[in-house]
Amino acid sequence: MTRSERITSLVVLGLLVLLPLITQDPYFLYVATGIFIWGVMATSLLLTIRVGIFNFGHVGFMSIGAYVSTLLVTKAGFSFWFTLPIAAVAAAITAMLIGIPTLRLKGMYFVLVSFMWMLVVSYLIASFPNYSGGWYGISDIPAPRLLMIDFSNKVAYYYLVLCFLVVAMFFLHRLWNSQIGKIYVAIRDNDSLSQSIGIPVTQYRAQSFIIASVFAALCGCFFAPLTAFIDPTMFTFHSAINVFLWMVIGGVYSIFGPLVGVAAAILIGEIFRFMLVLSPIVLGIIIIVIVLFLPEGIISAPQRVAKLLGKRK
Amino acid sequence: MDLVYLGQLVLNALMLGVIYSLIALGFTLIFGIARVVNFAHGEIFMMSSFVMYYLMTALGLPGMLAIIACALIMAGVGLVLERGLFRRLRPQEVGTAAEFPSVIITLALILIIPASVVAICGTKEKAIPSLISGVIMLGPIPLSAERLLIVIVGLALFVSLLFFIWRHKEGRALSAAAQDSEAALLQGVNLNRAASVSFSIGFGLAAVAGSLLAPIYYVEPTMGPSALLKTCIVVILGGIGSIPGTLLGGLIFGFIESFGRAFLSGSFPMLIAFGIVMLVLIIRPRGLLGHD
Amino acid sequence: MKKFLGICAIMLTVVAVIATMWSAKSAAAAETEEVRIGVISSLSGPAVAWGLPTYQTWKLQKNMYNQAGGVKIGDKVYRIKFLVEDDKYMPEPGVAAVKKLIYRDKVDYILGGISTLITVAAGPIYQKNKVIAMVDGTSGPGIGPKLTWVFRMIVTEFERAVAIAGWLSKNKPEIRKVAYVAPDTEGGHGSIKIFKKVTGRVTDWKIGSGEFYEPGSKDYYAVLSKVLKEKPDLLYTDTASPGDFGLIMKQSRELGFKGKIWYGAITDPAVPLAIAGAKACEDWYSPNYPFNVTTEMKKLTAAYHKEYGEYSTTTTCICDTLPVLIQAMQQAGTIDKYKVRDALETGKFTSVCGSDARFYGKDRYGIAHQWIRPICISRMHNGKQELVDQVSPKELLKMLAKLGIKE
Repeated sequence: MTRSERITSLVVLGLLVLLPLITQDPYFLYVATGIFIWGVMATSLLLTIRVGIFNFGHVGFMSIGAYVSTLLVTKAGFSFWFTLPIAAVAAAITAMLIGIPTLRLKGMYFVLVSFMWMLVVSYLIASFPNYSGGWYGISDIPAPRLLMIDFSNKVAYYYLVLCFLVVAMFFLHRLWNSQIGKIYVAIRDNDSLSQSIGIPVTQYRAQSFIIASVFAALCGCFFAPLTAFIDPTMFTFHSAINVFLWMVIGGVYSIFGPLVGVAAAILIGEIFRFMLVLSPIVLGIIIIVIVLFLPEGIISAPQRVAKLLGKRK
Repeated sequence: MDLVYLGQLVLNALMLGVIYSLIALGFTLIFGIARVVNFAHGEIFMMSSFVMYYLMTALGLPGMLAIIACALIMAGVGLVLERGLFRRLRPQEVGTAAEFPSVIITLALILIIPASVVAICGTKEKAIPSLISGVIMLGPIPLSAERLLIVIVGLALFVSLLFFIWRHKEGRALSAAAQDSEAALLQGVNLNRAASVSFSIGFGLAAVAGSLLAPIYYVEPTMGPSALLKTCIVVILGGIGSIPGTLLGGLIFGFIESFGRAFLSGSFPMLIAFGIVMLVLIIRPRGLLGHD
Repeated sequence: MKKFLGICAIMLTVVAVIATMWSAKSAAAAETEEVRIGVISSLSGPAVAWGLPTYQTWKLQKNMYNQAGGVKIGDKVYRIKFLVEDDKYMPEPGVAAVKKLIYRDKVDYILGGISTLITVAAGPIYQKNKVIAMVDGTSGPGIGPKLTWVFRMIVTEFERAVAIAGWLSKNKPEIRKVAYVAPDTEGGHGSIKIFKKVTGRVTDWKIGSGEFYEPGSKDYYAVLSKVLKEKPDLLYTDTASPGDFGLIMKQSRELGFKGKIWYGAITDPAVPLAIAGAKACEDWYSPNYPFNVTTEMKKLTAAYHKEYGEYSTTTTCICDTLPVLIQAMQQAGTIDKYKVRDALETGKFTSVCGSDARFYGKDRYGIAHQWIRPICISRMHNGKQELVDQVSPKELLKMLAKLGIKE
């Protein structure tokens, strides 16, 4: 990590830790906690983009995680904490099953397939209403407990998810900058060349796909108690598009990019809430502007600004 | 099984198949030549239906004229979008794809287009009067003239497009650009122009599909996502880059839908279609008639 | 130096955002002599066709109250203030909207909630915070014995089905065999379950074949051919969008069906008429409320037309929500939510559709929080919707008795 990155992230982390002390507004904390979860979603998606896979169905894994965790807690009385590894394993297995036939497909085909299978997941979940609540979903999902801490308190849950965010970002950041991360870039840029020098391309692709799916599933597990409600439609078309968009406008060349993109997009969405019907139009236009003028994402803005100022001198 | 019933199912399958093929063909042309995955293609189809609605009700244009006008208008929209937006994102080096930023723009369009349509036209479903009415008897089977018209027009369009690509100079340039842009450039093909043309034709095809189908059912702003899903299925089945493949994929999917609904209830036909697509991907990833 | 600027920029942005949200919060200070009512509706997203007219109707009614000087409750006069949120018809924004109204705006009353998913998800939130919710989602478990603060303001398909089945069976003896189609969704299956149960007890019709179709498919030839083969006298369908329902009528007539069509929901006739044509819509029975069924309704829909330039059947469905809350407050003599809740449960109210309206439902829902009012029987004839009859709550309860429901 560069020195400035280290300083920036510590400052931001400090602010996030202090935030609940400034405002106890439950709605604000709810939005912030959501930003953390979607931030991890977008960042793990970036991991697969890094290796050249356009996984449009990433939210499908979030759905699996959310449903596995919720069903185990509400129907089988499991403790929330035990469901985390189970959901992770479930997602990993699904990722392997789906990955085997599809990861070798060229980019465009994989996009279409991932789009489709995400819909299949929601169709399948909805087809067993006796277990999954069908299209009506599952409501009144309880918050986890740990020893004496009851996480139904919004502030407590905020800190819990913040810890998850820090751990996830730490892991993903390490992976990004590691030897493996560099191999990912090589594969993305030229997979036939990489293959010819002995890199097992498909294996690395599968690895990133599975790791990303595990993170997505964990996001799903934390998401369910936050909204206290899940249903199959929360994890399809619109969410998939959103996660992709947020990741890109944040910036795909830095591991911190997606998080910035998620925060910016959700906050803009909240500010423009009053515009009702027109708010998607505003968001869409902002996205197009960012793609055209800030192609490396919002996170590159400070450098761009600095460059502009530097030029003036 | 009742012959009349069978006849209806077949005609329906053909009609749906032709429509899906037209939309998918537009999508595949835009990808093949301009290298843009147009996720907003479903929304373009939806928007064309609304344009058709206004052409026929507000301007009172007669059916066939309205279809042509609609196609021209949407082709113009495609041209403007390509020139104004997507061209800026295409890297100047030949042979690399501009996929990523273009994809994001098409996703942003998925946000903008339906919201704009709702803001301008409201959310009520709108009905368009039939282009022709009446029934043609094929033996004992009554065939709806409306649906027959769609099949005929659609197939005619396909044939003329094939002719254009194979025989006409401009069309062959497009085909070359799709197969190997470097070589095409060396041959003097103007890639920018090819991209514009592909967008125009692509949008125009979606527009024809939208305007043909609109009187059969109705028009509403939420038609986009399902059209996109069907396009994806057809493109995978038939193979990207193959015009006959797209027609074949579309027809196959039309038959799966039409007959699937007759024999199975609920969401099973769709799940079966998904299953078949996965199978095709595993066994023959480039699609039934695809190359590449 | 450059990086430092970047860090500063980020920090400033974060602080600015916090300040904005903080100030927005403090701006929601309470004012006296104002009764603050929260409203959630689907102002964007797939249900905007229902949500927007709903909100517009309530806004119109609120303005009518305020223009008359406010409402007299007890010995004070109150102006009504709305705090509005868009639920986008999706669970996450919907729950966020409810939380915003309750935690940030601190309302005691919330109107609205079309989506059953949102209503179900928000139920525990209403209970925990003791907020009176007058919801308008008609299907599923929106109200219940544990949800002592939630009232459903729309007559559900169950009561509508009982009314129409009872009326048709008594007045149209030529109906002997019936068939149905419905979308393969939980709403569709639910409505067919109700249809079968109701017709089984309240009528002596024979139920022929029925099919479930893929929702939104627009292509019903296959499904209708199957179902209409046995030539039923009546075709029942429900939970289709007005457009899809228009297509069902159009295609069933194209296939030669000449019987009656019963559509279980209230729907704007303009769209199906445009799609299917007047001839195909002949003999379409529904619980639609004509705009002139009472003078109150006529006044309201005319005012709506003047304000927004169109008529909306949604107005006829949700026009009781605000007036009933106000009537309850007046009957309680206070805006204290506990007393108002008691008034809602025990009072007798005047609906826009006629008097003798109240909450019932202890037998069926476990709690008497379901609204009933006179139910219209409408028939489409020669391209025009005509009111054939009305089923009063008293008559409805008589029919319900056949199903073992007394109260």
